[in-house]
Amino acid sequence: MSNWHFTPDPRLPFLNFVLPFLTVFLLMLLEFTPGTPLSGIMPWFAMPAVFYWGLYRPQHFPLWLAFLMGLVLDIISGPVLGLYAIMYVLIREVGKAQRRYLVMRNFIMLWLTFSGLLAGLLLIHTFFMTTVGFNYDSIVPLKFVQTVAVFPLLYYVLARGHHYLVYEGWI
Amino acid sequence: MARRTRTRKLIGSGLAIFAIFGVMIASQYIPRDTPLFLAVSDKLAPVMTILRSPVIAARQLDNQATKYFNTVETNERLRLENARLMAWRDEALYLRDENKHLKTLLDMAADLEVNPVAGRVLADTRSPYARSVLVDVGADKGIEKGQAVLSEEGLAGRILEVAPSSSRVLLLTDHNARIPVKLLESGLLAVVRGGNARKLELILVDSRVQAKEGELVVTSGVGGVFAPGIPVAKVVSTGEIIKVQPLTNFAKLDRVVIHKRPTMGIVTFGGEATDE
Repeated sequence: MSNWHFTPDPRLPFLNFVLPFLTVFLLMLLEFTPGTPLSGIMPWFAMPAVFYWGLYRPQHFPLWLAFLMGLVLDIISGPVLGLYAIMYVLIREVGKAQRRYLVMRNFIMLWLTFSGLLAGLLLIHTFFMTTVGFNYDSIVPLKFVQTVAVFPLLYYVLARGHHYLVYEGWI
Repeated sequence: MARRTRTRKLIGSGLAIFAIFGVMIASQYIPRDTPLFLAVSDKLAPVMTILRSPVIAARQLDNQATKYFNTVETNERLRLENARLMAWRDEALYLRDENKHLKTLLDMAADLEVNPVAGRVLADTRSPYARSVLVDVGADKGIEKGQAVLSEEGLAGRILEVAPSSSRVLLLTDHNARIPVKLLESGLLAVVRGGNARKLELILVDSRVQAKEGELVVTSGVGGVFAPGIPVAKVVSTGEIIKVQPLTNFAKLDRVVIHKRPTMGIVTFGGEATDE
C-alpha cells in the first residue's frame, strides 16, 4: 500500500453532521423574520438547502432528519402536520436518487430539476389542501417563484462554503 | 437480486408516503395546543430572537437617521399637536367626570378592567393557509387564550395558543377569525370575517341597512371576548359584499399590546363555547 497520496484527517470531522442540520434549520427559521416588507411572503429558504444536502451529502442528511425538520416547520407554521415533512423527504430523496446524473451536469440542469420537483410537489400540496377544505391561496405560486429565484444564490453560498471547508481540511 | 431490492425500495417509499398522508389526515383531529407542539415553538423562541435582531438593528438605524434629519420639522409639528391635545385633554377630563356621574346615576355595571401587557413579534408565521404570528410573552406574564392583541393602529388579532414564554396570535385576516364589531357612526352591529386575504368581509346582523364607505369599524364587545371600542378596520367598499380594510399593517407588525382581561365564554378551536 503506497502512502504517497496522503490526505490528513479533517480537523473538525463532526462538522459533517452538524452543517446540513444547521444550515437547513437556520434557513427554515429565516422565513419567519418579522418586520420586513417581505414578511409573510418570504420564499422557502430551506428547500434549496435540503436539495443540496440530499444531492451532495445524503449520508450526513438522513431521511429521518429531513422528515423531522419538515415536521418542526409544520408545527411552527402550517395548519396541517406532515405537509412540509413530505416535501422535505421527497426533495431529499429525489436529490439522492438523481445524484449520479446531476452531479456531473451543469448548474442549469440542477436548477431545472429543482424547479420541476418543487412545482410537482406544490401541485400535490395544493391538491391535498383544497381536498381537506382550505381555500386555494395565490401566495403559493408567488412563493414558488421566489424559491426558484433564490436557488442560485443559496446554492452558490452553500457550495462555496462547503468547498472551502473541504479543501482547507476542516471537514 | 438487484430487481428485488428495487421492488422492495419502491414498496418502502410507497408505504412511507402513505404514512405521511396518514399523519396529515390524523393531524386534523389533533388540537394545536398540545404541550409537545407548544414546546417546539417555545424552545425555538431564543433562536428566532437572534435571527430577528439584524432586522431590528437596521430599523433602529433607519429611525435614528430619519429622526436626526427631521428634528426641526418634528418639533414644530409636535408643538402644534401638543396645543391641540391640551384642549382635548381638558374636554376629556370633563367628559370622564360627567360619564362617571351619569353611570352612577343609571347604576350601570362597571366595565371590566383591562391590564395591558407589551410584547414583540418573534416570528411572522403567516403561511399560505394560516395567518398567525408568535409573540414573546406567554403564560408567565399571565396571558390567556382569547385575549385581544393590539398593534399601534388597532386590533391585530387574538391569542390562540399559550406556551410558557411565548404565544400564538390568530390574526384578523385568518380564515378562522370572526370578530363581533359595530360601525361607529351608524352603530350597526356586524361580524368581521377573515378569509386569508388582505381585506376582511363585513357581515351585517341586519341585512336591510347599508354601511357607508370610510366608516370606522370598532369591536362591539358582544360575546365578552374583546373590550368594546377597539378600532378594527375601515369600510372600503360597499355593495353585495362589504369589504373592510384592517387598520393594522400586518407587514410591519412588531410591537403589540395584549389586553389582559377576564374573558367570558370563549369560542374554542372546535367551535364550541366553553364557560371559563
